[in-house]
Amino acid sequence: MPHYRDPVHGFIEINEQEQKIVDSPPFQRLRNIRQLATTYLVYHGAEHTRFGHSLGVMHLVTRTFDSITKKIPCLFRDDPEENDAVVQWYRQILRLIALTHDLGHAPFSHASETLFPKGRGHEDYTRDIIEQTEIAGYISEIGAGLQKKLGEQYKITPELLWMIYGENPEKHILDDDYIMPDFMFLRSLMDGEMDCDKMDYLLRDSKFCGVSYGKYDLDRFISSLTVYKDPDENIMQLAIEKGGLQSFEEFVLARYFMFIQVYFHRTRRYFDHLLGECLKEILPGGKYPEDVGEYLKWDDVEVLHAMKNKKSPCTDRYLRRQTMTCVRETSAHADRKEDKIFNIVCRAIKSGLGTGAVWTDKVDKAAHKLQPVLWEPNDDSGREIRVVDKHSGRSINIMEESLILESIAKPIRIDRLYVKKEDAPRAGAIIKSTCGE
Amino acid sequence: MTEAAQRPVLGVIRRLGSINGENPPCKKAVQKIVYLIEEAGEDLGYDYGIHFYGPYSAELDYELQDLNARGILGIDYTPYGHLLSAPEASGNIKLGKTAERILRSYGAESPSRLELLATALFVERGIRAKDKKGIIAGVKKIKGSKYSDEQIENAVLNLQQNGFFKLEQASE
Repeated sequence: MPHYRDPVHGFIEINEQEQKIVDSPPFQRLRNIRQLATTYLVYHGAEHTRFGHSLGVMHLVTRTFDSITKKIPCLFRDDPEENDAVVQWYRQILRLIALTHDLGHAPFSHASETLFPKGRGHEDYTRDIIEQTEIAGYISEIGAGLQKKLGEQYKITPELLWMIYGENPEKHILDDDYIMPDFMFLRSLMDGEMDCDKMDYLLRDSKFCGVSYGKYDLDRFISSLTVYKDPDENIMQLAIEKGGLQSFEEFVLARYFMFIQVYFHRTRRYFDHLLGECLKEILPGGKYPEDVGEYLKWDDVEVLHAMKNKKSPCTDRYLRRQTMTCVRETSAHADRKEDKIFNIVCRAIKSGLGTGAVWTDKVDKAAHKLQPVLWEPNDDSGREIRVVDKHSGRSINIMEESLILESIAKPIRIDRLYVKKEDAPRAGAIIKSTCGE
Repeated sequence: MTEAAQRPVLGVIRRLGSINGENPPCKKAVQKIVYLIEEAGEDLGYDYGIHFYGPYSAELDYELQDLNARGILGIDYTPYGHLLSAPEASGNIKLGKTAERILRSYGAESPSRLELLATALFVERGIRAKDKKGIIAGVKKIKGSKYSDEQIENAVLNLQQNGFFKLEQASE
């Protein structure tokens, strides 16, 4: 069986049919899509790509699913033989979703997402790739093999994968092929507060940036994952065993610190913005092409090559790593008072230096979206994290158990003001006189 | 009032509170009422998906959190739900005629009933053959055995009477 030696997870195994997907041009393109956009201009080790990340997520979703299904016999069906078949089916579905989930990413990942044609996002391109390129055939081949082994009802097609993981599952939930609550549960392993995507990128990004913020006890975390079932509400949710609470706290803190220190780094944010401006100049019509074949020609290498040929002031700034100076920023959880002061300072600087000499950036994100929810009734989102006592079966919301997580429930909101380096001393003087510091 | 303090959802929350004897509404009720308002034709700007507890808007949820973080909206985490308190001035926020009608018709319903109504409406919007049987099957697919056939039928009738849809003749 082929395998990859991964810097984060060690050996990652893959079967020969999955290997065909990896060998395909759309997947090989991921070797030239940086995971962290322009972060390499801040943390020079951040050269890792979506290629390794996709393999890593596949590895982790397999580990997680295997751990849970081993822990909970007959999780999906009462009959052990039927359950076993369903487990094999779902396992392969998850591996394929994980392997293909980032295929549609634009060059430099999230940094260039404002340049998609109207109404499209990277998920739409992912869908097009799995349905329209050779990958569709490889997925169907894997599905046919499984049907032969387990039975006709266990089909896997690109459409099924999209039904489970795609952008709008609500469009499919009433389809005959959509299995509730199983498919919602499968989705949560790839898209939720404890999903395998986050599990991989935190460790990977931390390692390649050379920081410790993103580290957490992966083995303990996976071993603590379980399932909360409520047949009356038709719910099957990923949950944490009480004994593993600290590993989850560590995971959430890791994500929180990575957002503050890496993903929202002030210099990175500026270069992401500058990259976007450069792309507007080099892309035909200032947007990525709608046609998936044309879209797949674009990767980081192609973008940098086009920027070198363009030779504009904007592309020059990027290629020579010329930054703007951040002269003012709010705290990580700016409140109304800080917002007001920031806006006053902004107006003063724009008045003193000219509007065109200033760039402002606003980031906001909930580092996690844990809802302090209740036993019954809950807050309705279905996104709450439950802590399960494996002896009593009782479940409560994680926010009731964890003081640490309750204290970082506030969304991250940072406002920043940038000026050209040569204007920084004047800006500083304006800020001083405005704020009376 | 700042721009954030004029968000229509604050007006909805304030109205719901006054309809229910100044008791702050829970988040579930607000999520479902906003869904009904939007489906009745007044766009408050939130996209809805479906989750375990029926139609749900992550955007709305995040906005409520954000308003809370800004000190505009109060959220009281109680064993009975996340209770939302909008400032008194939110009572002056102008809502459209449709929103006012929906609030009058449904503002006093329980969160569980609102969940059923919203889920039934979601199903009706999503199924091809628009009949009672199909809606019942769809609600049961999403909610399992939480609601009886009779409860679902009652919700369907209510939604019809309030003009959300007309059903085809059922093929029994």
